[in-house]
Amino acid sequence: MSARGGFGLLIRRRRDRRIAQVMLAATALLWLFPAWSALREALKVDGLGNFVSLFSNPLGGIPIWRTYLNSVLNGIVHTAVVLGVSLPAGYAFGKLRFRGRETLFYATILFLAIPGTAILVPLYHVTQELGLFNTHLGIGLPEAALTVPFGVLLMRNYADNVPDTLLEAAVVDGAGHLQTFTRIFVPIARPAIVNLFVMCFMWSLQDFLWPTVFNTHPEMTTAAQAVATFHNALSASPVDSARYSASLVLLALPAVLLVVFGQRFITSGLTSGAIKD
Amino acid sequence: MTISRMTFAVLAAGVVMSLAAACSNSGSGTDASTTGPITLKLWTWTGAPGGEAMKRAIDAYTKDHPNVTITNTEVAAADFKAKVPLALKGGEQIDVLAVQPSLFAEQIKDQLLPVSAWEKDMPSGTMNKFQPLALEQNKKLYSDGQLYSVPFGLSGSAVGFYNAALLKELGVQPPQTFTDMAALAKTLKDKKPGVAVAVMPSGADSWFQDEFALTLAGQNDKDFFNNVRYHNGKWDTPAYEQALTSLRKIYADGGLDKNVIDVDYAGAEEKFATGKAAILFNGTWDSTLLSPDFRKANKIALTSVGAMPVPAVSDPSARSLRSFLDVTMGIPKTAKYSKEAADFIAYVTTGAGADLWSKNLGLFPAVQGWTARTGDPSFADEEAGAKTIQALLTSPHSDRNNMSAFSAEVGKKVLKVIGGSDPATAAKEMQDDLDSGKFN
Amino acid sequence: MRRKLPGEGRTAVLFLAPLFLVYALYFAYSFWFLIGTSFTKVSIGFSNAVAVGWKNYRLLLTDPAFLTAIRNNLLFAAASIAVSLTVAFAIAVLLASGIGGRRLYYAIFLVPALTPIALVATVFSRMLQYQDGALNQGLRAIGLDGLTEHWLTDSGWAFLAVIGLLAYLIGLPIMYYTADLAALRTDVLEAAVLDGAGPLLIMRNVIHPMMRSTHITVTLALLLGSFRAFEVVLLSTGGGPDNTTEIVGTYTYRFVTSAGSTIGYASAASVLVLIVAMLVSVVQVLVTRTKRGASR
Repeated sequence: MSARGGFGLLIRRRRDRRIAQVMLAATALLWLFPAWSALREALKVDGLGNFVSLFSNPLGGIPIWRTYLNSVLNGIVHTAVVLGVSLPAGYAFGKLRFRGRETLFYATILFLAIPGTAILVPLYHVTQELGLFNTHLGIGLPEAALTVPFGVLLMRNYADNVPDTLLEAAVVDGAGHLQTFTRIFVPIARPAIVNLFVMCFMWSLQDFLWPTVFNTHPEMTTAAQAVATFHNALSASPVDSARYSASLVLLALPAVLLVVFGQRFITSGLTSGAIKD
Repeated sequence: MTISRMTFAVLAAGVVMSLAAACSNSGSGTDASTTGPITLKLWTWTGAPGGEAMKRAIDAYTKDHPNVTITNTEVAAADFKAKVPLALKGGEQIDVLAVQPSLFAEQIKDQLLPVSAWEKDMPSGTMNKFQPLALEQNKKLYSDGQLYSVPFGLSGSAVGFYNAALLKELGVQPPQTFTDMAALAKTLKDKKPGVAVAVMPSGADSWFQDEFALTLAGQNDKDFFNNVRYHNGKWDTPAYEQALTSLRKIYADGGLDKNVIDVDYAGAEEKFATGKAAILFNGTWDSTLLSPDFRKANKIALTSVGAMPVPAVSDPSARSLRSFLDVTMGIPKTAKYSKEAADFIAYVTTGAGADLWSKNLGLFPAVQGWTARTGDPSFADEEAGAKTIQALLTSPHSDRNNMSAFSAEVGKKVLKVIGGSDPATAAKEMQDDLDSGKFN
Repeated sequence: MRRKLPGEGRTAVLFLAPLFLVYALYFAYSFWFLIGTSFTKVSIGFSNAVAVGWKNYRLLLTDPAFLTAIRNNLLFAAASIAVSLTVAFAIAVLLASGIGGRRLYYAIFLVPALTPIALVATVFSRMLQYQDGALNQGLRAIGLDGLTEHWLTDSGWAFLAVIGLLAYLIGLPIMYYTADLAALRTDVLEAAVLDGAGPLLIMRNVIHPMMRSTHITVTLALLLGSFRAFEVVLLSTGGGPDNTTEIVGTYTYRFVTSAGSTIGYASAASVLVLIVAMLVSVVQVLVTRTKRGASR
């Protein structure tokens, strides 16, 4: 929408525009306050030296970049599994005719709200039996399990919007559903795939529960987990406390980058996974 | 339309591969040859006795045993209870494990080798070198009367560390009662505004509030905790209620500072270390603060620190604390080198290693004949403080044999009492929680 | 609509096989395991379990802390929904009106929502400390000492602190609204403007009702999310003071990670939480189905 027409009408008058600007700016300042407080603490005692020392002498012996890397590796497993499950399932629910389809679909999305903490006990057992403690698979799989209902919903919504005629021609031509799926549906679904991909990475980056419970090796620490790990590794010195604050600032960096470069995908990913028709 | 073979093959392969990948992490062999170079895997938690302290003992040991390398995995204390069972279940090689002497010990004993299996691998006479009380406490940990770990270090709680330089500057003696504390708070308010009279782990670390309340309860009834712990005694006794009532009053009178009850462990340490609190209450494990070397290495700028018992509500002669084994050492069944592990355990518990890791205080070794020293006699307050703590540890009012999750729960309720809620109700709730059995 | 082809059912089974596998392993097995464990007293080693019948459930349903946790979950969800339907909506509309610095504003509101929640909660807990926290220090610096509070240790304020923290994470609702606003027909607005209605009135009486489906989307997303985010409480108030801000996530987590034979109890809590979570989902599915039916 341009500023002239559409919602621009709302602040057509100069006075309204001023008020809107002031209100937005004030809210934004309020939102920046926690960030400012974190930065302020991060610069205490040693100033920028806090940040520098995190690289030469990392807290708890875990370099920050390593925690990013671990989050990314978990994110790869997470994304791969979610895509591998959601794409064919979305296709099936959206484009195949079979008995009990609607029931099965709604049964699938019943699991949208399952909290990780509620299945912590059994997944602990499963992860242990599979020998997956301290592996990226061990973190990525439970993350994926919790995301799959959302992924299926997103892909089904997408498949719903792909015209039947587009696929029908191929099916009638004698191409199997697998060919239709891989040659036609998957390429068409690329926007949805990209969206889901970004969302999975974002959630891996945010995941605190599984790494905290399933990782015992410091070198497996993820970015979200590090918030607690670093804190537990603190000694009594004021220097360490400031260094911890500095590490918090650094741990927020990937989110800033994600917003700067991936805002578009997140917006469309969220909205296409919404429960709507 | 039929399913093409191709479709089936691809999907089936996918399923099989994911299963295979999931199962590929198999266990490792346990047999070991002891001639070549070996790596002992030691697992401890922060403060047991601490990475730097343990390193001194490890370095000296590996110097004498060139074929041995020792890695120390230091798990954050808060994570330890959750992570170790996980690692052991996962078949992780752990040769020497620091075993927390609480319900935790009983919980993992099935995964430990009994001491009888490796006693022979320690130098002869090792078992006779432990302090008898420590060995006695160690036995209480395991329900079947067997020993699965040996004493390593002792600690007690709660105790006070004071900024000796600051008190001297104010011309105030270390407080003996909470009336003294309130007076000190007044003096501080006039002469050092912004400095809290005392600080202790609280907020997210409210488990310490339980420790502190129990220390006060011990002033009213020496046997209170042991009665609960070993004889099915009541928690909501008049003595305990009295302690909660006193605690609430102490905060109201200014003997302790309500404004710092949201400070967690690290925050409390930092406040004391930076001179923003005159007194720090914590466990004796924090006695590293008495070590000038430790303070220097950790950039703590306090020039002199002393130690004292938690002040009395009324009678100073009742001041005491609860003490217990804090760390014991065991050998898990997942150990690869149990023989070498036993030798190393003997070295750090009763051998020369004990003096090395305890050089900066913190944990006190459970070996007979050890005396607390700060390493520099010119620091009089510190030397006296170390002696005070050692004396307190040997004459506790009760065992600090904690009940894990229950302790944390109690801590939260103590905080609420400090905030103004009714002590009798709180004590009753704690009793109910204890009776329910859900915390142990 | 295309007719059903022979053999399509079997194809569907194949396409759904990975989904079945994940659900079987992670959900079906989990539920079965939880139900079994919930009738025992056992430690995390899962050995030497003792059967205790319905005792764990009895304890749970009589534990005020657990009931508070469930109530808090719903209250916190309600609070963040309320904030989203008002503040997030207003921000989204203002940003859609072509005000300067849009991208910067989006970034400011979105970054907190994408940062690890554990981190945001930690920053908040440090910011809200009574003595050294930035908030009280800020208030003291501008002479408003009277406004300083024990944000984390006073029951009422701690509750508000968690709500404030949830409000801080409204970036995603803003995004939902932004996306749907872009698709909204604006000719109604022009009519309203011609009628002489002010901006506030238009926002409240014209745009807000038109966004009904987005409101539902936002409400459901937040309701679902509220069961998942437990770090918000764990790392800010820790559930305190004395469980006043406890939610089901922190309650269960506490029992799972503590030493002792608390796993049976934690499992019973999990079963009850799952039942509540599924009920919420059923409501959501019913709402969706009605909408779907209505739109056809």
